[in-house]
This record gives sequence, C-alpha cells and structure tokens, in this order.
Amino acid sequence: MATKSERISEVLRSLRQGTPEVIGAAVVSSEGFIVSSVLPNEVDEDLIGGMAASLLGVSERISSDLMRSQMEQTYVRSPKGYIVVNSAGPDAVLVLLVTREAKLGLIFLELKRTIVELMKYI
Amino acid sequence: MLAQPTQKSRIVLLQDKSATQHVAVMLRRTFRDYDVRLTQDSAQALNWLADERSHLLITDAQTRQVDGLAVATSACTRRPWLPVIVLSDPPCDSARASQLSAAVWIEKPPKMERLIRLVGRALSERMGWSGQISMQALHDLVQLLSMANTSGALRITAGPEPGVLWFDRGAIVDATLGKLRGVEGFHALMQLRSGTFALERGAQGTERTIELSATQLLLETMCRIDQKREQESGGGSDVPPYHSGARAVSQIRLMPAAEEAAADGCDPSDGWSTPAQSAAECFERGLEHVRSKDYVQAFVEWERANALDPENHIYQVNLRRLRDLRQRNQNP
Repeated sequence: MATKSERISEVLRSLRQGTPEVIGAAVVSSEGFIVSSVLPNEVDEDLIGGMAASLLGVSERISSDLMRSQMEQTYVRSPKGYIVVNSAGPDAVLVLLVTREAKLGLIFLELKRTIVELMKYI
Repeated sequence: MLAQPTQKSRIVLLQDKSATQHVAVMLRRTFRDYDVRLTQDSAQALNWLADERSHLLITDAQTRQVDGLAVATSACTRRPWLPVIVLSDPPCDSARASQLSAAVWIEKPPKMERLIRLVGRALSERMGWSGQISMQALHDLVQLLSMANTSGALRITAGPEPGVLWFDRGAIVDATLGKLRGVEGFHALMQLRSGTFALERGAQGTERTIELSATQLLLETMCRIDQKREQESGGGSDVPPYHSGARAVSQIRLMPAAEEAAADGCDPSDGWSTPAQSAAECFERGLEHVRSKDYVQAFVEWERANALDPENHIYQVNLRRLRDLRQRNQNP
C-alpha cells in the first residue's frame, strides 16, 4: 500500500509527464518542509523549500492585510520562466517551475486539476 | 526557592580546627535538607567535592593547616559551576583568587546572618534542575538535552547504584550505571523504569567512552525496549548483545515495520518490511508532528527515515531545514 507522500509523488509525476512545460513540481508544507517533489537534478530542493516558505509568508501577509482574504496563488515571472505557488489546503502549497514558453492558461487549468487530486492526500 | 536535592545534597565546609564549629552547626540547623560535612583535610574535601551531590564549598582561604584556595581551584577545574564561599580577609593572592570567579568572599569571623544569606543564594542559583521521571520520559529528556546542545552531567537515581550521563554540546560522551560504562551503561540507564534526576550544567566528564551519535543510541534503546516488551508479553527472542552501531542500525531497519505490520494484522511480506516503505511511514509521521508543531518528535522520525533510506534527498533536505530552524530559534 502506497503512503500519502508516494501518492502525491505520483500525482506530481503525472502532471510533469502530461505537461512538458512544467519542468518541476513540489508540494511544500506551510513551514517550508518538502512533502514530495519531482524536480530536475540542477534544482536545489533546499532552496525550493526555503523560497516557497518565504514567498508563501509574504503572499499570505499581502492577501490578509491588503485584500482581507486568503492567498490562493502567487507567481513570479522571469526571462527564463515562471514559478507558480498555489495553496493546496491550509497546510501546504504546490510549487511549479514552468518554462517561459508555456501558455499560462493551460498551466493554470492543469494546476486546478492537480490540486483537486492532491487534496485527496494532503 | 532552593533547589530540592534528589538525595541528600552536600555542603562541604573546609575549615581550620581553630575555626569555630558553630558555623557547621548553624548551617545544619538552617539547611536541614542538606548534608553539611566539615573537614580539615584538603584531600577529603576534594574527594567529597568530586561527587555530584556536593553543591557548595565553604572554605578558609589559607591557614596553617588548610590551603582552601588550592582546593577550590582544583574543584572548580572539574566542576566550573560549583559555587564557592571563601572565608578570609580580602584576598591577598589576586592571581589565584582570579581563578575563582564564582567565589564569594566573606570576612572572618563571618556574621552568621550574612553567611546563611549567601549560602541560601548560592544554593538557589546553582546551575541545573532536578525532578521526577518515568521510563518513557527518560528518552525524551535525553533527547531534549541532546537537541538543546547541553553540556553537563545528568545524574539519575533509581536504585542502589547511581547513574550518570555526560553530555558534551549535545553529544552523549559517557554513561555509567554501577559497574557498567559506555554504551552498555547508557542502555542500562535507559532500561530504568522510574527514578529521580538532576542536571548539573557545565560539568565535564573525565573520559569519552561513547562515540555513537545520540540518535543512534536512542534508536537502539527504543529497539531494545520494544524487544523487552515483546519478551515480557510472552513472545520474541532474547535481547541481542550490543556489538556495534552499524549492527544496531541494521537491526532497527527491518524491525519496526515488521512489528507494526504484525500489530495491524498485515503480512510483513506484503511490502511492509521493506526499508523504503517504513522510511516513508516515518517521514509521514514526522510531517504529522510538524503540523502539530512537535518539532522534537518530527526530528526523531525524520532521523529514523533518513537512517532507513539514506539516499532519499527529501529526508535530508527537511532534516537540514529542521536543524536550521532550531539553530535560528536558539540564536535569534
């Protein structure tokens, strides 16, 4: 019987296989601990965990203080691609590393589907 | 409030014969929970002071019979936090006096009220704490002290033979229980079901007899306790003798998963006993502890997961992060 983190890994793997523009994905707890990840070798998981926690902290603060609402999604665009942080329940976020060529509409659609899948295990 | 002594703690009084005996009498009357010992023999005083139960030294600075400063210096070398009260005129030997930064100087003949006040303060300010433990809590206590990078001696009393665990910056470096010493001493201590403890911070051991990490020791302890429980409930095999850290860890690898599988009524061959599977379970238990902010237990579970599956990068990353968080909390 697979454990929750193994199932989460499977969901992430199928997301990456089905969407080649997604070069990496990780589920990170709200404290910055990595629950599961499928990341390319050159990406430092330590950094992903730390950055996701920082980004999440700032995003949540902005959402609650300026918008009086909960954070749903944050994304950072750079010339090399996007980093999308999407909440996945109260205790975790899904982090996606996406190439610059990706169509964001499709990515968000896939993201939505993936979150629904992930919520079964988080 | 004064630290409550676990067994009768000592106040060592090193005084010249010419000095009045009434100091000892007054101290005995005031500090009834303490064993006030009077001697004129420096060697005997040092012998008493080497025992962790000695909580305070009151000494003459220098007389014809007694070199109190030498005794105090020697005792403080081994136990830097030992409070010392020196009865003297203002110190003439400043070089020797400076070695006793924790010493309080009081003029002879001492005014009893002042001396009693100073003794009370010295005992209440004594570094360390004491309390009651149950068997389960002893692991937790050792683990907490280790994670807190404690240096000092944890004195455990649970029978005729006293036990001591020595910590050096969180590492368990020595353990004694009666004649048992080192790793065997540690495991014998961990098998104790209940008792009292006292921690003396800063105390230093004489020798390093344990090279294994605290995590390895605690994992092995848990393994042994599980085996003992199994034996007591009628099944299982004999507790194996301890040979090496590597063997201990290799034994732990397969056992918890198999036991849990048996407890849940599962067939251990149904994927339960593979190291990777049990590592994932440990990891998830760690995540649960993180959610409930129990970082100590999370650390234990993730250390175990890491030991079971050392190749897994996620376990290593999370352990590193947990250590960083701990350090940041300690040095904000």
